Amino acid sequence: MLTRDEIFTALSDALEEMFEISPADISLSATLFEDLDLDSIDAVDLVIKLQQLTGKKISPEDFKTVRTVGDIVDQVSALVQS
Amino acid sequence: MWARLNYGWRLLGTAVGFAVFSVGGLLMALMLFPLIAMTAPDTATKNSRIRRLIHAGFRGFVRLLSILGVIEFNQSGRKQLLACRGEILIANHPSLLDVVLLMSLLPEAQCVVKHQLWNSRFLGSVVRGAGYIRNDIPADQMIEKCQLEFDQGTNMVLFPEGTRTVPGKPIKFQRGFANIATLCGADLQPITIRCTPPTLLKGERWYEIPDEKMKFSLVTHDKILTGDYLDDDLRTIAARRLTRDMEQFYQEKLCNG
Repeated sequence: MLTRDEIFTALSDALEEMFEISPADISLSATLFEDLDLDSIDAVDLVIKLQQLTGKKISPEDFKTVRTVGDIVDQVSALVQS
Repeated sequence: MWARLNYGWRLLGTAVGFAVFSVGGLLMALMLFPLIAMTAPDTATKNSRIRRLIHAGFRGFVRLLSILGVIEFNQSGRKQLLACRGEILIANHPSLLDVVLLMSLLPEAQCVVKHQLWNSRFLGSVVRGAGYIRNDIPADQMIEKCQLEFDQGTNMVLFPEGTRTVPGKPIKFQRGFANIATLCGADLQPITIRCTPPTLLKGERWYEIPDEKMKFSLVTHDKILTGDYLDDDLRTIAARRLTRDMEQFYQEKLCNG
């Protein structure tokens, strides 16, 4: 079972590796599209990465409401507990 | 005296140009497009015929402006453009005429068009009929549509700045073109468009013409092979690198000759 901290760490690593985002910029309140400069295509890549990390299927629909790093942690956390 | 006469003549020519463009566009939209739509056996044929008609119209229009002496168009990149197949043609966007000049050289190109034009009274039927791609559709659908076009060898015109270039400001590219390139595996054909003196800028009215004849040039550069970027990096990183490299390339080309 992953804790929220572990999820956050894994997500930060992924964001740094995939999108060249400096860890200093990553916080729970950082918005993906504005603060971290992701685009909608990046979001698709990120969903795939999260599926690999969690081993669970994530539907793009669930991801539509996601705005911040914290939202992703919530989603993933709910997913791994279900 | 001569300068004033010349100015007056070019102003008149510009007025004629705008009038011909408007009336010609209207006639096409009202008569030729519906005719094509009625007679074409399927959507693909309809789109293709309308794109060819747009090309022919723009070509005639550019010729008219050249004959009137309103513009001078140096199209040295024409040959290389015509040889492109299934590639992304990217260009800077200094003036209102860029699209017209580019499309006058390309018999049948696809482009991504801002969605506001879909409901435009004037251009709505043009962009719908030609089957151009709206810029507000979901990313996955956009990629799918682009892939279909590339598979058929169609080229795609994109202005990475997303809007007309602001003179004197550093070039800033959006990542969309690099996303399409890296996801569809399409190569890039960079084009630089120059317009001296700067004219028809964003926010300028049609009659604000420069003191001398507008000179446009359209130059093609070495192709960028997207595969080279994808070899070393994740797609997401490759797209970012590609965007940065192209930004820098245009910055250097446009500022240092």
